[in-house]
Amino acid sequence: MATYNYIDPVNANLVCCICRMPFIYPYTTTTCAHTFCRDCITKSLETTSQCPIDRLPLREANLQPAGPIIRSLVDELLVECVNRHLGCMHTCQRQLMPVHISNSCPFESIPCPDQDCKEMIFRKDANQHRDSHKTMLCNKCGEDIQSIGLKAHGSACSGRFTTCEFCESELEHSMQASHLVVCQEITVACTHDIDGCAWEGKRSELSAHLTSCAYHAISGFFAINKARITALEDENAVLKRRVDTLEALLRMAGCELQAAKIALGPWYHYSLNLHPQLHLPTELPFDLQPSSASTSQNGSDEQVGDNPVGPSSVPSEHPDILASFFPNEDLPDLPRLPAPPRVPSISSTTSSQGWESFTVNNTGIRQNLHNAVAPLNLSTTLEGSLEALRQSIVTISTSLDSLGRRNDIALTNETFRINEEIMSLKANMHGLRMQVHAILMDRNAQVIRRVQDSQDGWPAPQRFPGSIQSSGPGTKL
Amino acid sequence: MTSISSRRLSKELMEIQNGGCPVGIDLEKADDFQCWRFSLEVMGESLYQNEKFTLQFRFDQQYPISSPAVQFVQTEGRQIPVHPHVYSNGHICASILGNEWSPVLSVIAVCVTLQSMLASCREKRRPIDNDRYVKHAPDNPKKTQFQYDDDTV
Ligand SMILES: [Zn+2]
Ligand SMILES: [Zn+2]
Ligand SMILES: [Zn+2]
Ligand SMILES: [Zn+2]
Ligand SMILES: [Zn+2]
Ligand SMILES: [Zn+2]
Ligand SMILES: [Zn+2]
Repeated sequence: MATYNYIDPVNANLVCCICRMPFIYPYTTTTCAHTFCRDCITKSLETTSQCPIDRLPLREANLQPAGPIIRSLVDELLVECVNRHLGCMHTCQRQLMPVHISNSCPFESIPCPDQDCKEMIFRKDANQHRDSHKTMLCNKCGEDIQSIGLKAHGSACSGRFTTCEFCESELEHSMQASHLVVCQEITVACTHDIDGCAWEGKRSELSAHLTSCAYHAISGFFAINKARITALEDENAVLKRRVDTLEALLRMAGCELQAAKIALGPWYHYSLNLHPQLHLPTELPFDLQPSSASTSQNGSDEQVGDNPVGPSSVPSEHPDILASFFPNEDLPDLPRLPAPPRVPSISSTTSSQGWESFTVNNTGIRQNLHNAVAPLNLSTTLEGSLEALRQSIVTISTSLDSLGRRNDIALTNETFRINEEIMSLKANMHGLRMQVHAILMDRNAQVIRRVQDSQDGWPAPQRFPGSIQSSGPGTKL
Repeated sequence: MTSISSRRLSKELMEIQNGGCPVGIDLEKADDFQCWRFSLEVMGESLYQNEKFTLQFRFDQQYPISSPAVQFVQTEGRQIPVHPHVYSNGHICASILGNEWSPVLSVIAVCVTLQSMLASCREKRRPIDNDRYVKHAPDNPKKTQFQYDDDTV
């Protein structure tokens, strides 16, 4: 950034504490509201991370451009042209000085617009300097020289006159080139040398040769021929350009076709059948001919009749046992779902056929339990298939939803039933335990009575069959 | 191309020439923007009555972002002041010349600070490590890492 001389005394509030000059790109700290030149404060922060005035911690992130008032106050200060020492007395607002320097200052050094001249010149001298580049001719030898080189040339000048090396007449340097065109003694070729005349001789003898020159006699033919060849060459060039353009177009079309083929996948052949009126040249690498296409069409029709499309097999997931619990509330809805778009082709019949088979299959669900996913119907259009797939997904999600609900209800019911059974089993168990208890009490009472009866003898093992059996390892209770 | 440091120093020089120096301080030499010399006198009651010292400033291209190299020098008839923070080679241990330098400070501000440093001195003696320091001291006092331990003087 240039340093300026300010014309009027500057308010101390507009002076940067670091460089002691009016702010240039003033930046204010957000932490302590001190203002510095952008360059001054960033350089200071590189050394110490604190405000130079109050030593508070300061980082570059705490700087922001000063307010517009400060900026315009310093931008509008009057300054002298930085080329004042060279003679420019111009003064203007500081913000306008760069424009003055780059566009109008007469004392600014600019490079000479001439490519070969490396000189730096004052803008005011530019015209004068440019004149010095203008070429002028030496009046003695006719050489091109520049005015700046005139003095230097004076000693090297080869003199005013020269002698023609063919006719030996004396002539001026400047005339030498024009003389060579008319010199009678210079050796020239026949004017028909392009057409094949091998004659060569002095210019003075040329006219005599022309009367006998065979090529001169048929010069008219040459002219016509030349014109025709030129016309043909022009036409050829035009045609060549057109062929190039067409080849490029063809390559592009080929690439696009390839991309379309890849994108279409298995539907690619079908889209050919869709336009049987398109007669393709036989050498094109298409393996399907329109005649064979119609037969494959019929074949795929039959296939569709045999294999129902996706949605038809979905209801088969319902278990048979629960069927009586739930009326088929959603199944009658399915046929009302929007059918795939009727494509104006034979495929419209096939697709509708597929949907009919779906409604029919509501009765034949059980047979198709393991044939859940139908193959893609390649004989429909891509749009039709996509639409059908979308519908299948809609149907499947609906079915899945209702299936989930049914499962929930079934699970609740089953849990309820099992709980009840467990309760009744528990009650039975309790009754059995009470009975066993009663029997054991009864037996204990009998044993005690028997022991009291035979106080004198050892209790025989066989007298306690119950206790032995219950504690033995081979118990079978 | 005039550097930022010479722009700033020419500004300071102009202020000194127009406004004069504070009492007891005089600019003696400022021929270039590399080295300036001031004469320094302590005014009023002090241990340095009737003594005059020469203070030398050396500036680098980074001034005022980086501090000037300031030291007392021996000139005809003038000695290095005897002071607990001034080494016998003229180097000064003062924090504002080191880590507390700020680009908003100026040559005159440094002169005034050192003047008051001398004025507040109670005991004329050299720093404790004077001999050791002077033996190894670099020519430029800025290359020394001083410990600013004493705030009283
Ligand atoms: Zn601050
Ligand atoms: Zn600044
Ligand atoms: Zn100008
Ligand atoms: Zn030029
Ligand atoms: Zn000449
Ligand atoms: Zn001639
Ligand atoms: Zn001829």
